[in-house]
Amino acid sequence: MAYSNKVVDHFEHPRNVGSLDKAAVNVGTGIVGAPECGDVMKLQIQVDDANNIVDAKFKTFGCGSAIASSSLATEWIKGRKLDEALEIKNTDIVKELALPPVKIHCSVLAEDAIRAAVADVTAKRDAKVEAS
Amino acid sequence: MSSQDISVPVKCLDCRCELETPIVCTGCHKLYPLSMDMDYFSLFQIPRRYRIDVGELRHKFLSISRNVHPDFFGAASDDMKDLSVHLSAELNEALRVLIDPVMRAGYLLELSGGTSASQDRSVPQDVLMDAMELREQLEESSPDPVVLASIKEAVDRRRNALLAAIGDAAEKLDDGAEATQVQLRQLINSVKYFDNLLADLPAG
Repeated sequence: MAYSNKVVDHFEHPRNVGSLDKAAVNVGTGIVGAPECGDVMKLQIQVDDANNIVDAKFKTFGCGSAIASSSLATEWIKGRKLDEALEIKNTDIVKELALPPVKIHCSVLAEDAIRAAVADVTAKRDAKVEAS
Repeated sequence: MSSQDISVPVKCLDCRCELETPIVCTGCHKLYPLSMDMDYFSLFQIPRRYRIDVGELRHKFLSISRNVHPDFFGAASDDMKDLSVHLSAELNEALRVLIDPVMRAGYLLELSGGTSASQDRSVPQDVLMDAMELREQLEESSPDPVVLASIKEAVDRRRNALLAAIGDAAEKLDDGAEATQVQLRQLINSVKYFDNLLADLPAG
């Protein structure tokens, strides 16, 4: 199976690799995994007070498609509002990266990671509002 | 399904020897095709449960394989040759699954009905967080042998705990409780992360 040029590009030059402060109230962290291959993906977002995603980072230990999917996901969510980030569907990632059927689960992982990160930061903020 | 459900030995249709396995007569080498109700445990006539005697399994595999081996059937009819090839392949696959603790647990889960671990795909969040943390430590500290050793120890500890829990859950499958199946699926999915970590640790 050959990877598309876009996958290779993201794999060789991944965007936004790294970590944000997991403890910060304005940072949401999503950690998801695909047990069939043992891949694990961490996607983090930092939001401002108006719910804009001002930064996004990821770390993925897995195959090229999983790395490319999460790299692309961070590119796409940066600058979006939280609810707009949730509009990204795994099928968009499949299309953009021309993923073959056996690698579709990598794009599902990236979508799950976005959802988990958004849910995390939303829950943190709700908790903060309640506490104050 | 009972964990002690071993089929009653029947006699060979040709030589009337008692059969040690439902697929071949060790007396006259008559082969019998697989039937739908045979599982891998019944091929070896061992109890259908997680805690098995691996020495006994190996011993039975060798003695049965010897009797169904295609080399034995060079002069036999084409049907018998084909059957011997087919049964040998089946025996190899049965050994491969039963000898591996995680695969054996997954197989018992499959026999108990319901969703398989690979269909379920769920992994507890703490397992993912541990796996990610160990991965990050590994990434940051690669050349340091002391840190590597401590990472390996942490991975081994987590993996051994999972294997023990898999054994306990697999032995409880006979209860028929769905909670046991759910738990076993998650444990089987979880162990994969630590297998991969071990595989990615530098040797030595």
